[in-house]
Amino acid sequence: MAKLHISQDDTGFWQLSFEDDDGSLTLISHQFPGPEHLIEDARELVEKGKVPNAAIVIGAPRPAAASFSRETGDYSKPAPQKAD
Amino acid sequence: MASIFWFADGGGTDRLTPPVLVRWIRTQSPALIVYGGDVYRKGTEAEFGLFFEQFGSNMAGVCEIAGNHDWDTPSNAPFPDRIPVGYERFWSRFPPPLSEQPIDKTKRGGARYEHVKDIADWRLVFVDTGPCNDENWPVGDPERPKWLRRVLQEKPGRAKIVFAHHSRLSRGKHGDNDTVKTLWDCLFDDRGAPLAALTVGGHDHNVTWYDPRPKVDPDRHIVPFERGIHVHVNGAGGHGHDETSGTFTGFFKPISGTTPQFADDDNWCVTRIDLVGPRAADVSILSFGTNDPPTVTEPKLLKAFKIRF
Repeated sequence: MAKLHISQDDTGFWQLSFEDDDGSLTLISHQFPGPEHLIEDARELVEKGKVPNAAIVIGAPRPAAASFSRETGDYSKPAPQKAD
Repeated sequence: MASIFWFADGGGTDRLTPPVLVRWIRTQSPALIVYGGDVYRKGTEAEFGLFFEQFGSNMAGVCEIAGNHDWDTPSNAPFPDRIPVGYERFWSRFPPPLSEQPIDKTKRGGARYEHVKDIADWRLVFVDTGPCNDENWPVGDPERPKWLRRVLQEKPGRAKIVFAHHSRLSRGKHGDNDTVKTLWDCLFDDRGAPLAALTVGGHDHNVTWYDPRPKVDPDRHIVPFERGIHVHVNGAGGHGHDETSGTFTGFFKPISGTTPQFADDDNWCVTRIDLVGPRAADVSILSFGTNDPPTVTEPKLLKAFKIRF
């Protein structure tokens, strides 16, 4: 089953990634300050049939990696990831 | 010359990117600042309070076309009389000249916020598409297409720019917006000749630019300017980014929208539109980098486009 993963990545920001049936991951959105907006968007993607029948998986908050400062670090696009 | 500045999709939170953009814009002697919509998360009075702070508690020279999030605090009236309550209360506090956002309470629903500004030989047209995640514009009000067609046709020539939160073409999580097809159709005369030069929107949190697109099947064809309208999206105003790559796998591929001629999904961006003459405008996409909050106070030019006719 396809899944939409909403999770906090190593930058401390939140991302939305798509997991295909074969398990491959694709980044859809990144650098969001919290999960709420992404949860709404994921629901809309499912409800409008753009990602039909996908499960939405929401990860727990977790601290940013010690190597990255959210305020001053040089942000670069994260890799897609699963929420679990 | 007059300079118009646009950013969208970053307001109403404690995010620190919009204030950086606003501070710089105000150093550029803007003729107008257009906030392209979405005061997060639901356009409540409290969120508009944060939006006010993001603008330095000064709405002079600013107008806003409402986005879908502004419309998430709606009145109880059914369409077409429904209004976004927080949005209307906020902008009612700043009638022109305290801001550049008028409200015509004799009109219904989103038509109350639609207006025109004539600046430096150009006509700027502002259209409310806030409910158009789900509703088809004109949201049940037949007067709105009449108004839009009239304000476009009463000024001869192509020196017109149409601003709306939802763009007919877009790339990203939301993609093309079929809900504003009727709006797009109004931008052309009965023979299919374009009445405007450019549309500007947000909604997808990224930046895209499309070479001129025709009335029919704009997602499929690039045409000469004589037969089409440029389309620009900039929703990179400070609240996350949506990918434009379209390299999704499997059945996910179709959602990403039409392929633009330029795309960026990493940078916080302001769009500057310099109205340099009655048949000329320069559009600059300016980047404040990728850090949140930005670690630069002066933007770099990411891409420039010239509109000439």
